[in-house]
Amino acid sequence: MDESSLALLRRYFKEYYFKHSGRIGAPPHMESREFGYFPFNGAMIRHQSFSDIGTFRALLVKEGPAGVYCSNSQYEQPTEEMQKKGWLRAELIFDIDADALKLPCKNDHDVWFCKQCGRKEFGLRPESCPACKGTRILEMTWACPLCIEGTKKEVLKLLDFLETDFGIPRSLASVYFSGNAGFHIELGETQYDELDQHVRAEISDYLTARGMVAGAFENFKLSTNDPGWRGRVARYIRDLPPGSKPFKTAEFEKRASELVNDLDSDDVEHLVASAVLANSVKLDSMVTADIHRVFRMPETLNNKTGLVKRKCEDLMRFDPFIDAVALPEEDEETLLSVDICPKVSLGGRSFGPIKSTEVTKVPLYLAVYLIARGAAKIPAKVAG
Amino acid sequence: MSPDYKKVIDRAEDRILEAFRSGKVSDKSSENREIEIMSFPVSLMLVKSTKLDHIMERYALAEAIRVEGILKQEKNDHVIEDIFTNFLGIKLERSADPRYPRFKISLQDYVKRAVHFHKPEWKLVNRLVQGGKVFVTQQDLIRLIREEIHEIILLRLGRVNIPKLTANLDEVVKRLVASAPPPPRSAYTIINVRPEDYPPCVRAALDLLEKGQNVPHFGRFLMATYLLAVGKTVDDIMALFPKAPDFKASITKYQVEHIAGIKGGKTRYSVPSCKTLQTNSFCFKDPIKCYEISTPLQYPSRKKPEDEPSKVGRKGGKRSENRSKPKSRESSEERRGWTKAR
Repeated sequence: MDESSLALLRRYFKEYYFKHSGRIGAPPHMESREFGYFPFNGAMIRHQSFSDIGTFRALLVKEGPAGVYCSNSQYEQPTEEMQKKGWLRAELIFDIDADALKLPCKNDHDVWFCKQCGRKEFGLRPESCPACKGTRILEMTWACPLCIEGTKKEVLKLLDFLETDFGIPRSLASVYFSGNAGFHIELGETQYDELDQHVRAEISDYLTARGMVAGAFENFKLSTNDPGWRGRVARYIRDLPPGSKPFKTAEFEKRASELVNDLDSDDVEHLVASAVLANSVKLDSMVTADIHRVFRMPETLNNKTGLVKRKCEDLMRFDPFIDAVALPEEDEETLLSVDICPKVSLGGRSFGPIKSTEVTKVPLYLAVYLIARGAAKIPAKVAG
Repeated sequence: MSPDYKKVIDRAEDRILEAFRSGKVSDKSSENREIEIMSFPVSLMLVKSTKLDHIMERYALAEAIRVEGILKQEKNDHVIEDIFTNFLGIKLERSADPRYPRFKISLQDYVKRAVHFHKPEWKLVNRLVQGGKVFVTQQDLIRLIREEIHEIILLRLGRVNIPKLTANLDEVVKRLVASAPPPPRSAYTIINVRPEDYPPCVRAALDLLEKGQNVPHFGRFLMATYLLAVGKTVDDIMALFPKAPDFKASITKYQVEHIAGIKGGKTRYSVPSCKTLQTNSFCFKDPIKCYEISTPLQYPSRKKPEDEPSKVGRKGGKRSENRSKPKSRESSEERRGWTKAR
């Protein structure tokens, strides 16, 4: 990134932490957590420990870092290297990212760039560049309101699984907008905190239905009240519209009998596969299984957008493009050279799409967003 | 030597030989209860005296299977429940609906144990789960107990002190060592494998590299650990990389050296298990050659799935097609907008 664009990000982040570091709360058992942060153009500084939030906030005000992180794990010695930390426990965390949903809107807003010939276009990344046939192609993903809506639906599915299957009260699950294109679902203390990574992988496999065998659904007749996945598959079959193949009837009871007695195994597998697709949670399994990870802290800025990672008190009403803008009150405007970007709505203002380089005046938070995304820079004459 | 003492030693040796031959110890309590009981600690001492880890492992498992067999004949289901409550400290619940398996066990107690089993029916996702509890049958509980007993016997073996053996016992130990099966392939052993015999997951990573495409982080990790395990050097592995689109020699070298235990935490990383590869969407299972293997190092499978149904997956094996393409973790943690090709 060029110096002037970087300077703008630095200034914005510093101002945010100067004004709002008081919003950053201390995690429970703060002294047992590992903290980390990275400066702009610098490597991550990990294995830090803080016992009071005031000292930590002061550091953020002084440094204005690009990313601020804290472990969900608790350790005996959080400042030691990983093998010597003495892992104690970790609250469960789930990460759902819009990009993983592969929604059709990606085609409208994602951009690819051929490193070989420099071609840039909207759309999904092709296997090879249509112009030069090169395969060294980068992609830039964007999130739009449709992505956020889709991701929220995944969060609701997850919350239902956690409550009904895992017995975790809804009040223990906090949903945070990640500051980029997804949500982190962080649980308070539960009976699962002492489970190791292998067991956590089983939990994420349960939620994503990885490793499920269709055979389990034809042993005995399904009921929509069945626990767990059986009940979900049953309700999916009940809700299929009349005339849905391979069923001869629209009535659930008869469908359930057909499933056990009449359908061949291919049909059963196909049905279970579609029920699974509709009900499974598209979460990032690695995040849940990894017990040595640090997570962006709530009320800190995401360096990929300049937006705040923020708790969603009312998930369905939370609009990250308004509610997560870090400094919406800032009315300063700046001249920006935008390379390529889809239509963006931020802080109530619409911008773009821009297909080829354009110099334009935008509010500071939008400039930060576009620079952080890698789509814009401060024009040379302003910088000079 | 008194005839009774000899009988005890003979039965002790026999228990171990049974473990070698068939992987399970038979129950001869009805023939002579005292000898059956007294021969067990003698077996432990003999097994420990072989100083062969894999023999201890095999023997512990065979004894656990013996107990499993005895429990399976138990008609009174309170016995199993009592073992869980008193022996393992796990309170079971009874399920209210007769259509479902009879018992409920807490999810964490279930998964901690079941995670070690490879058959798909043990995966949490193939279980009835409700309110943090997993439904299990009596047979399931017995299988879970077997695992506990296996662990307990291993622990006991670890604590056995080997006394100075008498000449006749020394003879027995020598005979046992001579007839012991060879150790299984270990997760760390260096073996020479021809590139055409690399497992499909490692080949997938190598193919992507070959085509100049990006290999997800986990694929690179697998490739490095596997190739190191089969005797390749850091430089051999480095030579594979320059076609990667984002290749930075110094970073890659550091990463491979880190995995090899030369740099950083100085821990040599072992090859990830098949289960871990599945969780990370980097399993490209070959239904025959990957049969019942639990790590890529066991590829190709030595067993053939002869009695498997022609369609894998009815009772086990095939996974539902809910896998997304291997995804690089870096993609969502990249610091700038442009991300690498997947």
